Amino acid sequence: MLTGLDGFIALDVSAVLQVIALGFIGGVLSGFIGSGGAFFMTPGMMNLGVPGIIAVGSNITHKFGKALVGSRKHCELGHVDHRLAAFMIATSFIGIQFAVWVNTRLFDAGGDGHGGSSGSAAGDLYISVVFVTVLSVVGASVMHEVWRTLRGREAQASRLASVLSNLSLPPIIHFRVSETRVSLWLILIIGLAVGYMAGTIGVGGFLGVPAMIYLFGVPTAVAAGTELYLAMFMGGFGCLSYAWQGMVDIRLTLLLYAGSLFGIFVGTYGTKIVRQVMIRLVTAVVILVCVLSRAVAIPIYLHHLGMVSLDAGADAYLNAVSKGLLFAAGLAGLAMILTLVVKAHRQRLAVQAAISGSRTLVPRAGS
Amino acid sequence: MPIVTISRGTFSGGRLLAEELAKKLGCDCTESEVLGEAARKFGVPVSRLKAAMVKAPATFRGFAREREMYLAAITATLGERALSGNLVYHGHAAHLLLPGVTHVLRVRVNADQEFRIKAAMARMNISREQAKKYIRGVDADRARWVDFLYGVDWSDPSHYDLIINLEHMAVSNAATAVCAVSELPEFKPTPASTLRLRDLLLAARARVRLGVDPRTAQADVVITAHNGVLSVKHLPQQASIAPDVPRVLEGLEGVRELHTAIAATSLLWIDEHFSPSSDAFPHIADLAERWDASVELLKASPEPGAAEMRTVAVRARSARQPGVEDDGGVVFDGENGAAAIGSDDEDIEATLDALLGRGRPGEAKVVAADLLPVALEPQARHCLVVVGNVFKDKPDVVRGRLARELQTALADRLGVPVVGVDDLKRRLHVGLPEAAKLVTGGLAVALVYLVVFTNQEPIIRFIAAGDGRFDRILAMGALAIGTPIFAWMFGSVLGLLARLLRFD
Repeated sequence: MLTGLDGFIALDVSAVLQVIALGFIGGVLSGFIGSGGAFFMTPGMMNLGVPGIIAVGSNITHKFGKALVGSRKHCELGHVDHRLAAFMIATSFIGIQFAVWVNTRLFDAGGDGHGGSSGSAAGDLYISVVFVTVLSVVGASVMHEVWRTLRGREAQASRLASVLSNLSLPPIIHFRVSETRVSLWLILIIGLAVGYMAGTIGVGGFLGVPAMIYLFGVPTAVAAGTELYLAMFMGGFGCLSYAWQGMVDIRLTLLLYAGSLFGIFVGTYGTKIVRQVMIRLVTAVVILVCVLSRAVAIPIYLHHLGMVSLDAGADAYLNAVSKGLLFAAGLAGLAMILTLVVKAHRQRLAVQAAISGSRTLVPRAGS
Repeated sequence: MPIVTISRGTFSGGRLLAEELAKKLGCDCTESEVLGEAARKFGVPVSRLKAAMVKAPATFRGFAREREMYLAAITATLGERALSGNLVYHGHAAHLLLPGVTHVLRVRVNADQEFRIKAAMARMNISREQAKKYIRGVDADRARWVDFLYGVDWSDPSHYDLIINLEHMAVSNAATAVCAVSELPEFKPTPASTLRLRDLLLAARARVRLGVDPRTAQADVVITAHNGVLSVKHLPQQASIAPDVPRVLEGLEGVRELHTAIAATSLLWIDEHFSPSSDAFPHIADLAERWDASVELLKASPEPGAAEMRTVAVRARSARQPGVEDDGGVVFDGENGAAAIGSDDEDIEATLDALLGRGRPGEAKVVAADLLPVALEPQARHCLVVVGNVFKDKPDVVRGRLARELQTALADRLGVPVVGVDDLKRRLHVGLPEAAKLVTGGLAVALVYLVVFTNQEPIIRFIAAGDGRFDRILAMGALAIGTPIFAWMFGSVLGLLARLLRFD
């Protein structure tokens, strides 16, 4: 258990600007690819020396408010299946609570974290391993889909997804908004997994949205809206859970807002004019480089736990490489997005100019 | 030349009725023949066509695109057969494949559950339980499919002209009854219904041609045809395909004119009178610009009795088919009691021109107000419906109530947000109250940052909360309540700023 200022880093101007930059890049990615952006912000904060558990706790609190604002719009548009969300919420809370319990136990186990800061190497290692494992699969799947699309093949659900989606273990629940029927057991399992992911690494949407689309047969727009609605409750519950443990750094949460809420506007604008396949390509590249960045940091935690031996300067070197890779991923993603947005915007203006210049109508009767 | 479509639940006797009816009418059209012909003609596998007709809704955009193309192939084949002579079609959701063709006789065959179970057991050589499960599964899949694609309830009797239960009626007698009904004047083709059929055929052929050509195969398009005028709308993300669309569709039989337009989505504006100088116009044009939307004007004519919706004008980038003479065209006519809009024509065209001047394509239609919202198709892809000044001939108190009722009915039918013009103005307008909110909110946000970052240590001590249960609850409550309030406040400030900068 934290007492006093244990685990809360000192914030100088450079750190403040870096957290705002993390928020902005995370926000752009979030608006552009529709995820929460936590896959970038959480490791980014860990690279600044924030213990993993506080990075996750601060980010999940940030996500709570953001999802609250975003889901209001989805509710207005009718893109939220409240019934489905209600079924998933119950088990997602169990998943989150389990994740918080594991994180807290590992944090209490002690060990130095990033860059010698006070924290839990065991907890950071655990978060990093889960992060690398889950996001490797996600990044590779998205890249595979991009590759198929670029080769002119249609995307398709995996064999496992086909089997699970046909699971008809009673009770079967009918969802009117999504117009789908799903086994209650499948919903509860997915809710549990989404909650665990959100509570462990702050990334639940990468699992929740595809699961709703491919396993439950929910329309894409409704899946995104319902996930955001669910994220609001999960974020709220995660915030309460981590706040109870004293693991939320409100300064980081506010700094993330300062960047992310601006970034979302830029990213969302991009989705209106950039092709879907390019959006997925950017997503895959950024996720995979983020995974690489986190993988590079794993030896540091192993070293601090005495599981491997490293030279004295190796920690600092690996941390710098990890941080460099993460920012390279974010900046490369940002550059790709801005380039695509500017290019698509120019193309659109050119086409609109052509449209405005012509005037042809269906001839009127008798003319 | 009667056109009869027969829809049925699996093992309801629809096939037997269709075969008997085909004998009587001298045609032998079945679902498998249509699918086979469509597959041969358009070079797509029969299995894919079958799957497109029965499988659960597509979730990927790619799947949806493929399914749309296959459905178009089936519609095109069906349309060609319907134009050339008698047609009996007993495929799945047959009654929905030729929407708006008034001379199609839509028959639904029902049967008692016991009748169906026995038929399934005999035909498939399966147990009673297996038969029940099979029928339930197929029915659920079909209902879901119809709802997804057409937004209607499969079992709703209002979608059929005739419902027959074969439990107590011999198939041959049922066929004689259907044959007799198909000879009634209501099911004889009229120039308007034939035109509609030709337009459906044209749109379907165009969709298939774009779908099979590698240059446009990945395009997400919305195609409509009105009296030989083909309109192809696609997303701004796919702006690069714009030059290819006319090339791919060049020489397509039946096209008088081709319009291509780029729009991410479309707005539906319902009003009794349109004008570029109206109060509503700048707000709707602003919104269309911000959302990259095309605008469909729907004139709600106070004159009752219009039988169906009519297109009156279209504005988009145009490529007239080479070698095709413009014959003046029928834009709207008085046939079937279609509403005429007379002196409003110029205002509607001026409104569309003003929209086009701002880079927004659009089209205008007219429908009798008393047919709203039934005349609107739920599958039309509007993202927002704006209801203007309707029911002008009613007293003020009645007008307000009717407009609210119309908005509710439209929202129920179309499943998209519906707003009145006044509400739209309020949401888009940034005036003095909004500016005051922006400044106040901005200052409040700045104050929060100032307080937190000038008092970092006490705030962190408060959040870290030590071991005291009361302190922990207090810290937890402060975070759980304070964070969303702050996010909402910050989000509102940025939302207002975005509206001010026209970036939302």
